[in-house]
Amino acid sequence: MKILCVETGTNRLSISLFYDNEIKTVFGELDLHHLVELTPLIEATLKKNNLTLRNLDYLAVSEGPGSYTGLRIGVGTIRAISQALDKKIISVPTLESYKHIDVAETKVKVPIIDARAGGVYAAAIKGHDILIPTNVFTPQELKAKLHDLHEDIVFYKEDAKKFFDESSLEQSVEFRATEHHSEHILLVALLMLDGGYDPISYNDLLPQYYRMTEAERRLNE
Amino acid sequence: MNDFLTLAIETSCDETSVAIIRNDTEILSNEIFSQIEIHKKFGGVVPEIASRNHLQKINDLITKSLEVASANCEYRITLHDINLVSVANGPGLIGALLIGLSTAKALSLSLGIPIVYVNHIKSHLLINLAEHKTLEPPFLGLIISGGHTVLTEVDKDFRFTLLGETRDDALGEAFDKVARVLGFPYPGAPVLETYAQSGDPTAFPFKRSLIDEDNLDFSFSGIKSNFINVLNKLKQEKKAPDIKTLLSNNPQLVNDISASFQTAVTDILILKTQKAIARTNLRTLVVGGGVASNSYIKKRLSEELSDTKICIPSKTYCTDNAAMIGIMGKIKYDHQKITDGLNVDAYSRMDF
Repeated sequence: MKILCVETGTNRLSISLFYDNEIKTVFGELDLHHLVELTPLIEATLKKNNLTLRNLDYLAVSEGPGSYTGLRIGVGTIRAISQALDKKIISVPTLESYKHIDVAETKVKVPIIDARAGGVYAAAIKGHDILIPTNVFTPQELKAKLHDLHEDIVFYKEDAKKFFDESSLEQSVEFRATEHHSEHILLVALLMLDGGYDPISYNDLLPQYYRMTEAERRLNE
Repeated sequence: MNDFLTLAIETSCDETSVAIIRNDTEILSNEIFSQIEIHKKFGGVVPEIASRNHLQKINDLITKSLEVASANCEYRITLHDINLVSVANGPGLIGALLIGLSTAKALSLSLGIPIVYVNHIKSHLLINLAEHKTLEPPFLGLIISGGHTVLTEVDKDFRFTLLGETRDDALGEAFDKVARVLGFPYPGAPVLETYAQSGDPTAFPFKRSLIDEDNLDFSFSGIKSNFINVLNKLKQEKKAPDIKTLLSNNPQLVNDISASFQTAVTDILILKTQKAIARTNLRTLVVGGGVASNSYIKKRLSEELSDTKICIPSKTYCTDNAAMIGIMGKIKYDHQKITDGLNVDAYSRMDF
């Protein structure tokens, strides 16, 4: 099976290829340069591995949460490749990729992304189990939910320290700056296929924003 | 089939559009999804909402544009028949532009065909090549839109030289701003035009900025402030609690101030264009941009520049559309022998 996987919701973009049961991952050279870097990097990486877009079986993409602009570049690119070459897509919930980071970790893993306007995107993962599904929370809401888990916590990504510190929770808390990339997204995609996921058409692929735009929220107030 | 087919994409602001152009200027399809209704309740374009909608609509528009193009010619066109992708990469809203760009680059890569990037503003002029078959450069160009007011010279090889531009607000922007003061729903410029028809254009002698200066630049922010000051003064005189009450108590005032404003800015346009004609000796004027759909401006231009051949697009092609991106892309591909790479960015502003 051959899969191209794209992660553009992070500051540095990454793409992974899966073929011959191996994963090859490459990264962008600059932060937040996704529009310029993505398609040339896909082209070069496929070429280097003697692959073409045509002979791929599936496309996989990180659906969010993440930078809206970044996600749209990845999703827009994948939608158009899918439309042009009739390839089905695996749309991966981004934070589930933390299943594949520090795999031996027995504590609850909580990746945090600053959602602006006083919110955070987060999920809570233990092993392969999702204890709190991805959503946008206020730090207080998340704190209450994590408290109720009664388990030790590892926060992931730089943004976590903006909202929490060692004394935020009653249980033990640890911080790691580790961030996911396309390889972790691809591992989730493979897991999804194994679990019977039916890959989708480009028309059904959109970033997961998890909330309305600020302008809509203000209008509703 | 020996035809050359260009697929063009436009997502600079709040219109998602995909067109198929056959050979140089034949528009086989020009599908547009206008987001005006979506943005209306916010009083203007919300960039994040525009980006979300572009992404949601663009692939369906590609499918629809191929279907319409097929219906308009003697064979069926699929993505695999396309020879060139043309896309606007500025100026415009970055978040909106990058939807068109991501899509266009991915199509170019997937289909193994060349891609060209087009300046959205310049293309507003070249759409005239589709409707005025005898039009050929060199010509003088006047671009009047929501973001730009530009006088330009276009040489025989379609190279653009900037002659003058606005120093502050664009003409369309000034229309929208005064329309908002009058309480018209977004987009207010066409509403203002309707009210102006029943107004006295001499009721308020707004200043014609920069007309005595020996340059081809424009300024529209002064007249906008002038407009607001006049209404505030009238409000005090008539002891109205606010401008809204003043206007609803004096319906003729709405007509008069609309007509006075429209006449003043049109005077400026005509005087500066006359200056440009005298300076360049060009006898063909090509007009483009959203404000070019204003019937009053159109009429005055053709009446008062009677010794000049004037090309103005029909209404559909004045506002943002992908057909103009396709026509300009094909010209860029042919004339300048340029095929661009994939590592190209989007630009909110672009040098002319």
